[in-house]
Amino acid sequence: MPPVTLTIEALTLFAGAVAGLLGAMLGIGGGVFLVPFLNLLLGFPYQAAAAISLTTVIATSSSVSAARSGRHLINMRLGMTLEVATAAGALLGGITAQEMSQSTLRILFSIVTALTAVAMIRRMTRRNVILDPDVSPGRLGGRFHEDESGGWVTYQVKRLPLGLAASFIAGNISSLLGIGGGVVKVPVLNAWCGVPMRAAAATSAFMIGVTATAGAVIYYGQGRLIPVLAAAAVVGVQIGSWGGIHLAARAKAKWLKLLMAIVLFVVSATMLWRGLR
Amino acid sequence: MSTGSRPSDRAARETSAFAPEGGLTIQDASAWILRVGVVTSVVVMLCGLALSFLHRPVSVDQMQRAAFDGNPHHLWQGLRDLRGQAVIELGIYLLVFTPILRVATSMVLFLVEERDLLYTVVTFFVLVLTLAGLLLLR
Repeated sequence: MPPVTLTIEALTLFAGAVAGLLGAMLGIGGGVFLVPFLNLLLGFPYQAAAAISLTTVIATSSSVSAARSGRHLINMRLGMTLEVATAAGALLGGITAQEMSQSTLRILFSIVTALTAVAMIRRMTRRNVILDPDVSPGRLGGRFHEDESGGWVTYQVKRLPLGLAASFIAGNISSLLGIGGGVVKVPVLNAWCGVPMRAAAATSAFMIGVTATAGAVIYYGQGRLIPVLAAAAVVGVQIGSWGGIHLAARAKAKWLKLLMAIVLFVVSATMLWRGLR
Repeated sequence: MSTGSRPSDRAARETSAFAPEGGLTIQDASAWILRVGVVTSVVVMLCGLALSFLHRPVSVDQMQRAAFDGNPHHLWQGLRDLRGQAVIELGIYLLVFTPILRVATSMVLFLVEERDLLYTVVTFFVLVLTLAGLLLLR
């Protein structure tokens, strides 16, 4: 493991800020950028990188959902139900990650990063909303105010077992790889469970704090976390995502998404190559 | 999931978690806990970082080996000596307890404000699963 010098600290803070900025602008977590930075560029063991990344994920999820809570996008009941599955998945993933080899984790990361890139290029545009405001959202559904149409949007939740399964896998991948895991559950909730994209993303981001906590504490218990480096990463990511939230409102994100998808494919390929070597 | 109640009061109960109608909603409480928790922990971590680098190079040498130490006694000792590492660990503890506190508060509010026993139990399971990882922290 490389020594933690002032230079490494400064680099981590900077990388955290870049990861947080991109994450907030693209609507994905910063973990997909931070893990390869710590593992491939700085040479920290995969588990040490994952422990730091999960710590930043807790902070990002918490501040993002606190900022979003006013608009009724977060579905508390659905989120809490799915959290049972993500927390169980995270617990299991955190335990198994301690025994897995770095190359296996790198190959898995490579696959998930490639999927993130694909999801980013073709963001699903299905709306699955009911515009009649009198329709009951059902036990788990929700209602939120949509700024574009100026109306209240109602949706019902379908295929809950599928949502639970996707959440379990998301939780598992989150603590195995040190990322948020939204890339796994948001598309499933949106495409198959009838949850509108924005509500799915907000509810997922809200859940991720608990998921990452359940996984992160296992890494802490195993002595995988380097606190002084984690602190620099958390501070960096917070600064970056704060900037990203303000920039995202103005920026035309289309070209940025395409560019970042290419970056993610490169990261994915590098991880795969280093994992197979 | 189906319930036998009439549609009108079912609709009223369903929207209660989304629409604030006086009282403390779970959304509002969660948002406050998350906001205060993150800001506090980031400030504490910044202080810890500052302390670490004020005490250079001794403390930096220590940090190269130091992993997260779950021992509360060591943490307390370090905090009294104002060691950067210990202050940073305190910040990490605050960060980790933020979502846990949010879940615990939601559980209480599901029971007290919403009188929803099913979701009180669901939230309890989430809390147990999250704390299960903490128990592995020795």
